[in-house]
Amino acid sequence: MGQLRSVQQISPPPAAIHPAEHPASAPLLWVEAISKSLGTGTQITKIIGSVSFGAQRGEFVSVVGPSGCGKTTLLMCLAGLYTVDSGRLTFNGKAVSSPPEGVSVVFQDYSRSLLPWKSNFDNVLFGMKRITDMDPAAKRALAGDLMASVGLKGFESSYPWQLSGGMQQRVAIARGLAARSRLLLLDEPLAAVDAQTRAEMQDLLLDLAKKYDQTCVLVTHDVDEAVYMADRIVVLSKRPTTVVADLPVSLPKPRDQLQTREDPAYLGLRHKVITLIRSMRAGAATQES
Amino acid sequence: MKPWMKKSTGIVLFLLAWEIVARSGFVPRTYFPPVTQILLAGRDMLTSGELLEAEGKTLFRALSGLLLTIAFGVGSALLAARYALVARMWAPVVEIMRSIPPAALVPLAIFALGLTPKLFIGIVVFAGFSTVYLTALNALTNTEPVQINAARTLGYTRNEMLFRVRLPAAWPEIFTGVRVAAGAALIASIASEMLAGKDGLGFMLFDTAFSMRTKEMFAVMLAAALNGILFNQLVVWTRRPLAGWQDKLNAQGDAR
Amino acid sequence: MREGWPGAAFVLFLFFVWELSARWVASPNFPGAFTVLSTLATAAPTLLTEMGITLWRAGAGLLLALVVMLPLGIFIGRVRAVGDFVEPLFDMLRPLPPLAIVPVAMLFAGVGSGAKVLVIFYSVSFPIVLSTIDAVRSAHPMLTSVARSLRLSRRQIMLQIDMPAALPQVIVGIRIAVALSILISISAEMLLSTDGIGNVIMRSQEQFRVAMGMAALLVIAATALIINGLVRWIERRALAWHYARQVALSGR
Repeated sequence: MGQLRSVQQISPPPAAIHPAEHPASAPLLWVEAISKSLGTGTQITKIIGSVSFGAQRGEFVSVVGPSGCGKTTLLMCLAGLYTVDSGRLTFNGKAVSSPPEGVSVVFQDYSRSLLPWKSNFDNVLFGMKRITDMDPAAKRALAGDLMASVGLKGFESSYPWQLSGGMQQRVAIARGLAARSRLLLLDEPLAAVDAQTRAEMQDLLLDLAKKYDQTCVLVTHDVDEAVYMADRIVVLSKRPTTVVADLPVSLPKPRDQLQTREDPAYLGLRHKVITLIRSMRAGAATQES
Repeated sequence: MKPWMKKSTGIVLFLLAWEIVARSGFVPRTYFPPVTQILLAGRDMLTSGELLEAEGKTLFRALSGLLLTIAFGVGSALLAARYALVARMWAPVVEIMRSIPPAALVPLAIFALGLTPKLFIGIVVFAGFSTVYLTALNALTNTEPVQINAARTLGYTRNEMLFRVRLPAAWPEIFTGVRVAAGAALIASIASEMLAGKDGLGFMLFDTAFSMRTKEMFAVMLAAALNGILFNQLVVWTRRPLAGWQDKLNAQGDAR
Repeated sequence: MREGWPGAAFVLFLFFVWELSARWVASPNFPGAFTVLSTLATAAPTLLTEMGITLWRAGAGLLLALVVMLPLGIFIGRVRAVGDFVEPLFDMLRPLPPLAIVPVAMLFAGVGSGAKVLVIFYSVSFPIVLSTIDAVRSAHPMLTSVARSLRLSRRQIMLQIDMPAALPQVIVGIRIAVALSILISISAEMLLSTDGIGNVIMRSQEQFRVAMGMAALLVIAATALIINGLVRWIERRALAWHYARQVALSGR
């Protein structure tokens, strides 16, 4: 592949869709040149340098990058939990300054994001804060449906900490969906789940995304997962983060664990992304020295 | 072995050891009466009614004081957790309160309030307030960040998060403070009774000690300890609906 | 200092209220802030000496309790069998108000320093051992599983996992214990009046010298504030990692 130039010199991603070009199908999520630093006083680190990409309605976008590249920080910005230092961040046409309605987050640490004093069912109900047009009975019915959708029928009255990791994450997903979200942000949701359950959960996420018409942004360190699930892959650089590549995924949907993963297009894409990430590690090493 | 059998073994052995040492003649009888004599003296005081009367007074003061302490302590902590300025404003005053032994205030308080229930309950509240307040404030401010972030993304306001996420999550830790405060409440009640010299278990303790009625003294101590047990059991019962989930969660972790 | 201004302002405000209400009541039994402060200034050497006596006793009792109760607490919290056996004994003794021990201590050890240090040691043991046991037990359940999977020996588990994980909660217990040691020291002195600042308060009350009593209270408050500040400083150093983690996770 040859020596990769320093990452800052890579031109803006050609696949990014500018809203002006396709006004009819404006992206649900639009990220333009955002940056973010963390820390206080003398210890300020620039985590995100300049990141731009978009997500169309119904799209599944995976975000990958070398470890420590600020993927989680990016997600926190998208969720409105952090405010960006510069650039524009729009969801559904409006600027994001605080957690917007219609965006749900599934956190990596499911055991701590679910409330341990509430049952699974009540945790799902907890997600319905912003719903004002349903009476309590309808809400309960919806919660029940969601629990069944994620495959947890029968576990309504037990507690999150009584369930396995994958099951807890499913409760968290149900809670996110309960909020009538349109955009689902997933922060390495399957990183803490065992490998066997991971495959099931990947297919479950894809089904749910389709069934509930969700746009998804999945942050992950697992390249296989990123390629398997996505319609588009955004590859990030090391800190300060920029977008190194924005690649469309042409694999057919619905995906299949066996067929898709043996598809040459899949393998080619996987190869490309892994090489990109690897070279960044090497590139960064020469930069630091 | 049934749980209660396990529990009593330790105590029974301890009492047995005491009885043997007391009767062996190694220690002077007046200072170290055998368990049996203590229990007899206790029974006498019970039947005469003086023990129950004293106990009732002490318990009432400690209990009402503790309830007030929890109400004020948690209430103030909620306010301070919500408004950082309030927390900063109160911080030195709370520190000062914490550093003054309740007993040291008794002489002053007697001047101001006289030998009324207000005196004793006031001392009790003073004794426990800072502990409950500080523990609660600490628990409320150190909520698991992921939980806060989850609630924020779901659209809860800061006030709602305070009552629906922070407070429920804080109860287990608050109760460690309440346990300490309960101990402080009983200490304060008995200490103020010792100093005020009016009635209650504290007064009885010093009275029996000074008149060298050691059997009665130990019996009163036993009564005080039993009071304490009763008190703690009340705290445990109150804890269960609010913080019982934490124990079950831990049990889960051990079981796996 | 910039952070402390609301607190300082509030304290000054209370001082004003005190002085004003004392002037309004105008009784010898209710000295105002300035009267008490001048009494404090004149009697400072005596008061400080007495406070010193109180402090060394508190320190002795506390040290003893730490050395004995910290390892004991971890041991009890970790080993179920020991916990089941010993905890009923603790449960029996714990509810006994520590000051109730004073008459007993008086009978056995007189009214001197020995009796008081004994009472302090006894009183302070409970918060220390209690919070340690609680801390060891509320460690995230994951840690127990991790420890088992690493096949660490009982002693290794105690040193490398239990102690650091329990540290934040235990330090809270120690902080309580420090304050308690001074509290009990003073209270014991009030009951067994020989010397120390507690004795000063009792004598002041007997002699109707309210301002002196209040001055003693101020000395107590000031001393305790300084000592607690010291404990906080140490705590901050020791738990820097814990606080840093909190900050990192909430990312403000």
